[in-house]
Amino acid sequence: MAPFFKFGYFGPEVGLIIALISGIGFGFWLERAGFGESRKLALQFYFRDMTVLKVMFMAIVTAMLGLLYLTLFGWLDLSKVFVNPTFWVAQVVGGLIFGVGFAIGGYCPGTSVVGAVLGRIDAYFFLAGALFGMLVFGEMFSLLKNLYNAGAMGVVTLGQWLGVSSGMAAFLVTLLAVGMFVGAEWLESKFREEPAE
Amino acid sequence: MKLSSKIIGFGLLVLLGLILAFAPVDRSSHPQVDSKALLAELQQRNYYISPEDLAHKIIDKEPGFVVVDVRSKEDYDQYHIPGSIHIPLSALLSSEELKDLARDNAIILTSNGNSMAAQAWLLLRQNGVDDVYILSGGMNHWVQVFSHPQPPGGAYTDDELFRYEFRKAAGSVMMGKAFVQEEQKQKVKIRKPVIRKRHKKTKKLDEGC
Repeated sequence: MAPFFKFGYFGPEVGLIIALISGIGFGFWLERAGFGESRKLALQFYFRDMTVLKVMFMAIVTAMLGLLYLTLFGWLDLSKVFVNPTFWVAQVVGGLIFGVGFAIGGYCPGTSVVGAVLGRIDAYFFLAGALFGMLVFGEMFSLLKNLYNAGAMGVVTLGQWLGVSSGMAAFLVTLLAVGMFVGAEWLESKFREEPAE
Repeated sequence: MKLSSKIIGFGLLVLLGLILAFAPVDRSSHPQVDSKALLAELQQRNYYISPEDLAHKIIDKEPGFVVVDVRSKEDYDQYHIPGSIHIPLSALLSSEELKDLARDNAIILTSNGNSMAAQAWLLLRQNGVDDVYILSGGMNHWVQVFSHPQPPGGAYTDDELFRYEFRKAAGSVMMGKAFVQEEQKQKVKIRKPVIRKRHKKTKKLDEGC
């Protein structure tokens, strides 16, 4: 029964090897989706190419449906799956900073590594900036501590927050994802530049 | 309208979501605690940790575990294992401190003997705390082991000898007083450093992305 690590099917060492393999796979498929190029990634902020939004939402929905169906079949103990605690204020602020960085730099942390592996110089600069930002954050942590913990809600899932079952929450997220997908395509058709004659 | 692959994909997703919306996911995600299985586990004594193993952990300052003393406050004040915290059995489930600690640490329970710690073990396991151990023999055994270690009698094995040496050496640290060295009756010929294998992995990994 999954999660395999929590049920002791393998130890931390094997876990690290699996993490390496899945990490390489993640990077590979990001590249295949064209996410190693900052021009393509940045286009979403001009509503011209919403591939990132579509891919991310479909990935979320796929993982969510997969986890819930495995639970439904009794193959997965969902209570043993790690859930990040929610700090809504900190996450809203962090999300905005992240978005600004994404729009300016043209990468997000994962894709910047993919870009760097492909030898793109802007990705090297982006990575250096990210590392420098980590250093600054670490040094300033005592000042930022209140913000870091702001809006703490503990470990909470969408279903618990809305007061509906996990399955209903999943259905709503699925509808949201399909809506976003359609909306993204509509935006693309509005803003896509006509190819130069 | 043409049935494009996109429409089929969307339809499939919505259908899968719709099934989930009315499926008993939440019920299957909280498996009932199997009391019988827990009792069997307790009786197999897999979750007991010996005083020596615990002493090694304390001396090595190993991270990832915390000793919880479930005895009365007076007993705790009189003597407790260095670094242990006091949470009486009655307050075990309401303790926020324990909840926080249990997230990142293995909990090692100790009482006077085994029985109260075993009760606490069952209580915690039934309430979803997984990483819980019991100090074998409790404080009575602990004090006896580290304040009056018995030299192995008769034909002893290396292992027994090492254990005795370790108990003597750790005694001063654990009991908080200089342990009077007994006169060395038997000549100790071999003195290998005490290296023991850790039986249980208690360190937890950080998670998240």
